[in-house]
Amino acid sequence: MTIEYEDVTDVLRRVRLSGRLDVPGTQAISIKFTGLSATQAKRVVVDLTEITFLGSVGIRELITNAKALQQRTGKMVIFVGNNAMVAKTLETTGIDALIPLFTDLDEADKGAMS
Amino acid sequence: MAATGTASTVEHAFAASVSQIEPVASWVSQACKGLKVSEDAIGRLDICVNEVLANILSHGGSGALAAPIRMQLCVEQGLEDGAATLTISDSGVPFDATRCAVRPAAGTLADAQPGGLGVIMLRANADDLLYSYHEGENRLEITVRWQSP
Repeated sequence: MTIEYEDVTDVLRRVRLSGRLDVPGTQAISIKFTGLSATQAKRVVVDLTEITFLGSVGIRELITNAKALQQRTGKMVIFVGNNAMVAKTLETTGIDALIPLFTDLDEADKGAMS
Repeated sequence: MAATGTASTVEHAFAASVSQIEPVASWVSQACKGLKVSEDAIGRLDICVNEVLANILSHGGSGALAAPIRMQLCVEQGLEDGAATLTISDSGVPFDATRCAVRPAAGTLADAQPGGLGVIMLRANADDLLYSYHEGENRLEITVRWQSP
C-alpha cells in the first residue's frame, strides 16, 4: 500500500492511494492519509485509480476524513478514472451520494474547487 | 448447474489475526483461479472474505481470536455455469450476517456514521448466504455463481 500527494495549487491537493485498501492496507496509510487529507482547510482529490481492492474499512477511512475536512470548511472528492471495481463498491454502499465521485481528473479538480 | 459438472473442494485453517487477512485472501483467489472460477466471481468472493474476516477479528471477541478460523472452498463447474461456495467457521460470538439489521443510508456526509458497510457489501456481492451456529461455532456459507462465456 502506498500513498503519494501533489499540491496542484495552494488550496488544491491530490492524494493518490495504490494497492489494497483492506484492513492491513488501511492501517498502513491511515495516519499519513489523515495528515494529508484532513488537517488543513484544503480541497482534496483522492485518487483511487490504482486501488486493487476496496473494503469497508477503507471506505470508513474515506468518510471519516471527508467529514473532518468538511468541518474545517474543506472539501474532498474521489477520482476513480476507469476503475470499475472501486466505482461499483462506492455506489453499492451509497458513498457516491456523500462524497462526489469523478471519472475525469479535470472534472474532479473542478468538483473539489466548487 | 449442468448435470454433467464436476466438483472440487479444498480446505485451509489459519490463525485469527489481521496479519493473515491478505495471505488468506490470496489463498482463496489462487485456489479459485486454479479451479477456473470466473474473474468477476473471484472479485466478489474476495470482497466477501475480507468483510467476514474483518468482522470476526473486530467483533468476534476473545473466543474468535483464541481458535483458528477454518475455510472450505467447494467449486462446482457445469458446462455453462459454475458456483463457488466458501464456508468460513469461527469460534467468536454468534453473529448472523444474513439477518442483522443495517443502518439506513445517511443523507449527508455530516450525518454519516462509520460502520455497518461490511454487511451491505457482503450481501451485495454474494449470490447466496447461509448461516448457522452450532456447538460454539459460527458457520457462514458464501456462494457466488457465474455463467461460462
